[in-house]
Amino acid sequence: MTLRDDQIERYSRQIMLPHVGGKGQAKLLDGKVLIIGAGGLGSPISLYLAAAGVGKIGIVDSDKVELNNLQRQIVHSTANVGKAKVESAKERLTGLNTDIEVVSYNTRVSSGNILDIIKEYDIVVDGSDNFPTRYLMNDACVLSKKPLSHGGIFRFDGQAMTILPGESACYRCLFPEPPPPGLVPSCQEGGILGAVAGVIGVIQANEVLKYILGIGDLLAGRLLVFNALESSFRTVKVRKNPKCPVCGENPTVTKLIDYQEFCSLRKKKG
Amino acid sequence: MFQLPGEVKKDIEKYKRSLEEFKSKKISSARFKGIRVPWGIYSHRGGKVFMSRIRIPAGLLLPSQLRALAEAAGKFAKSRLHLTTRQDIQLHDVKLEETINVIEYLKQYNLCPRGGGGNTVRNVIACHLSGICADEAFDVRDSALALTEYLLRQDTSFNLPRKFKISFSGCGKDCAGALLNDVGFVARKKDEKVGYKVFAAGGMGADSRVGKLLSEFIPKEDAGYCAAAVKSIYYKKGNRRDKHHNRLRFLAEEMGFAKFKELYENEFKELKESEHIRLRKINFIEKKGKDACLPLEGDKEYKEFLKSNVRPQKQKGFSSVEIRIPRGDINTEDLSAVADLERDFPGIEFRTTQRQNFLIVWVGNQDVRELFLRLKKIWNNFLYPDTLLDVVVCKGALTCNLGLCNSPALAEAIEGMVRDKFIGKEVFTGLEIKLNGCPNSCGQQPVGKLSFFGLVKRVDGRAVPFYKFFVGGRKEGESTRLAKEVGILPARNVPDFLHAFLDKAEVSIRKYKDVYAFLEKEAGEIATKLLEGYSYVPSYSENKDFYIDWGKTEEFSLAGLGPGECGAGVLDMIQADLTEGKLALQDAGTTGYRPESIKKALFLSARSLLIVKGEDPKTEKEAFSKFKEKFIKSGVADDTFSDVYEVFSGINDKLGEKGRKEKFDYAKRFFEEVERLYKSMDSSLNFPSTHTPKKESKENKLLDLKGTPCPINYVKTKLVLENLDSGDILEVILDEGEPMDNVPKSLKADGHRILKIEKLDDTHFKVVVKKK
Repeated sequence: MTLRDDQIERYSRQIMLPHVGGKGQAKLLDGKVLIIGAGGLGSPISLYLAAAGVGKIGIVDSDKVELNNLQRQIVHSTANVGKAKVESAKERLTGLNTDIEVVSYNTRVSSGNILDIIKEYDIVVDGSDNFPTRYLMNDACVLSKKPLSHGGIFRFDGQAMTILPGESACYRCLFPEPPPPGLVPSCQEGGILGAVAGVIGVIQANEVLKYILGIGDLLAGRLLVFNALESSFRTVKVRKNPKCPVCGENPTVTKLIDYQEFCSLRKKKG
Repeated sequence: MFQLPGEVKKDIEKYKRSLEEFKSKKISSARFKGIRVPWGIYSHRGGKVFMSRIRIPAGLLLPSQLRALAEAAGKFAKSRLHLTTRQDIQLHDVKLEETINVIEYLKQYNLCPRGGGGNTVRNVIACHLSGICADEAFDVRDSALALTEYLLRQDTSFNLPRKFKISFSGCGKDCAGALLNDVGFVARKKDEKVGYKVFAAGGMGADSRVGKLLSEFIPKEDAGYCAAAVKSIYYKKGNRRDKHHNRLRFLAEEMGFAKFKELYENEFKELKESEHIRLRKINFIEKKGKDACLPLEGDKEYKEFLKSNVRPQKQKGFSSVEIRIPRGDINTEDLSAVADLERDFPGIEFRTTQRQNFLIVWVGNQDVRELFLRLKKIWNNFLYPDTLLDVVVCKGALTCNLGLCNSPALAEAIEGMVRDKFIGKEVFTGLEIKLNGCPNSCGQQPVGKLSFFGLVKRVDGRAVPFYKFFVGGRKEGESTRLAKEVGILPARNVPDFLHAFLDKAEVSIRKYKDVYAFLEKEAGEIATKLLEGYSYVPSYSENKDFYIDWGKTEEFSLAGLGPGECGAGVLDMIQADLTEGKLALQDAGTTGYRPESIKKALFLSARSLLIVKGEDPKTEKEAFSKFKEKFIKSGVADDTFSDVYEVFSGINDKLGEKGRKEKFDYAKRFFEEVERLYKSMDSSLNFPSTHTPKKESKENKLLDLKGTPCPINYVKTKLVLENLDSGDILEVILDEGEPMDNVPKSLKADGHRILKIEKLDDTHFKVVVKKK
């Protein structure tokens, strides 16, 4: 693949890196990434991936942009309040980088559609704000052997982990089952500092770039824990759990379940 | 002004770490010596305190720098400083743990002892009148400073076969001694072009030589190529094994100067093609004066001062004032006072001279009398620089490990005699005295008009300090001559002998057209005759004074005399490791194969030779992996030792006797292999290698990046290189300026090789790159 002059100029600062170069840039331009959620995490993830020239970015979200989103969901703008989030994001991302293709999925992920959607992508990034989606994405990725970048935020805390199915621990190795309904508030109830979402989202974007480029050490088997009040990061080793219900030796989860039924955490849609 | 390169600043951390390691006994004193000496840090006699030699490029000092030196000496040493004949300033009596503080403190003022000693590029000297002298062809200061900056950036400048000295003179009078340096530049104009006449392979020392003409003319901007070419030949071919024959002058002599010159010309050409050595342009501020006249009225002393210390600058209305610093010794208080003069005479600057004096420049003529009065408050003996009273002398046995005689005390005695008897006489301004405590040449005695060096003779079963007397040395461009030996006399008699000699000289000298004619035709004869009466040493019972050196009360002895540190270098460090390694093996052999000793022997063996490859491993693992990389993979060492780290890691207390014995035998074989390699190393520190470079055949690709700015030019080059095979050649055309300054450097940093740099026209260069 030969880079055009405007591409050389656009990506020069990363091509210069010994780990990237023209070959790395070509990998990025060939890369296909699916982002679940165009919210607090999805915003920085999608912006950095688009800027770096990741060739195809899919975004799944069924919500519309609300005024209260703008405090952290930086991919959207005031003018787009009321518009579908995926359309708003697509507008911004293609404006940022004309080189890339943005595919929007204005829908809620479910056991029925998720396997079809992720099929086309090299890696999936979970930027969702609720446990049902998180478990659905984990199981879907493990079952279809798709790498997944997990990220989660709550008030001033954040965490991220990269899951390489078959190789490293999955989300269920860490937390086999979702918490009982009612115990854990969803993000809407929790409140969040926008920058915390930024930190974790950027870490996820960085994981994706490293994965596509094949460089560095991924957060595979390591859970990164961030505390914004202390400004501290630490990583916790996570081993594959042989009793993991989805990736263990005797898995009990062998097909996707509609998690919403037993979690029923989200009290209202949107 | 001079900027201390970032590379040197970064290296300070390394020195700091080594000092820590030495203090916590992680490295031996021999090894640490090999590290500190190239940092200009020498042990005083006795080894308890140290001297830190700060390089003063071209001898140029701002008032703030002078003050910083005074402060550093006050804070971290016992406040004694010394001006050297290479325009450096030494801090004496520095405790070892303070050496790092000196370095870190002075760094802020662009001052540093890096390369102050050891086998390094030493201080680049220049005429002390550069830029202010009416006779100069042009100002050489920028060449001297920028070349220093360039050379200090290169690691190779600190690992040469022996020291390497460079000088710059502004005209044929050659105040800096071009023929007494490894490379000497003399400014000249040729068809309105400015450039240098270059001499090489001169040098003073135990076996002094006058340099020879290397090049009739090189353009000024090529000075960097020229110095780099000579340095490169010396680096590659200089003798590193024979400590007595490792200076450039011996290399040139052994191969013959014609051959040396030919090598130089090839190297110069190659460098012109492959390197882009652009010396930084340094602008000096030209001051504007009032064009006033010198105030002439004053007492007799002031009138003497005007005559002996003050010289007009070529810039109207300004004068330079040379202050004689007897024996180059100065304390913190006086140095601060000198620096403080700037508060009352704003705009003045300072310089060190090769006569160990200070020069104050940019003194407005109207201020000269006031300056004189201020100087009087600091000293009363600064008159008469560059006269018979201005004895040039090394530090001698006082602090130097090599010093035989206490030369500074003798200098003081001579000064007393001269002050009493000879001020104002013909010989007073015509002659000079240079003095050294041993046969080395820190006191520059090989080119003294009258000169001495110290030696020891046994009389009556006792050691007696002696001096050898020389006449007729001359430091002046192509007229440079080495002084001729006359004879020897006991130290005690030197002042009286000189007195008698000068009396006779005063009469004879008038017969000749100049002092050199006198020195050549008659001085030797007069001295030889006189010496007969002064060479006798009475028996110990008759006169004990002869057995006591100047400035001492106890009898002369060589106690404390030790090997010189100046050449401490890689060989000493290798030797130290091998000796320690051998001891560890012996220990293992006698203690039932103690695991710790076997491990130590393996580690020291692996580490010892790495220093030659520029590696200084921090950990054991690194030492073994580097050994593997540098010696086993390159086919130099036996590959049966590929598993040395695994063997090393497998040594522990749980091994039975048989297991320990196996490891011991392995360690012994490994040690012997390393010893074999050490012996096979040639005098340029290369090991016999079996590798042959691959031939190039493909047609070169061309990438035209005219007008492409940074960093896009680098990115584009990188993109093309990515698609080539290792060893392929790419030619890149780059603009001069930022692109040329950056792109080749970055490509090198990526591991590619720059084969050639060719100037296409005024604004474009072609760079030939070989892919790694």
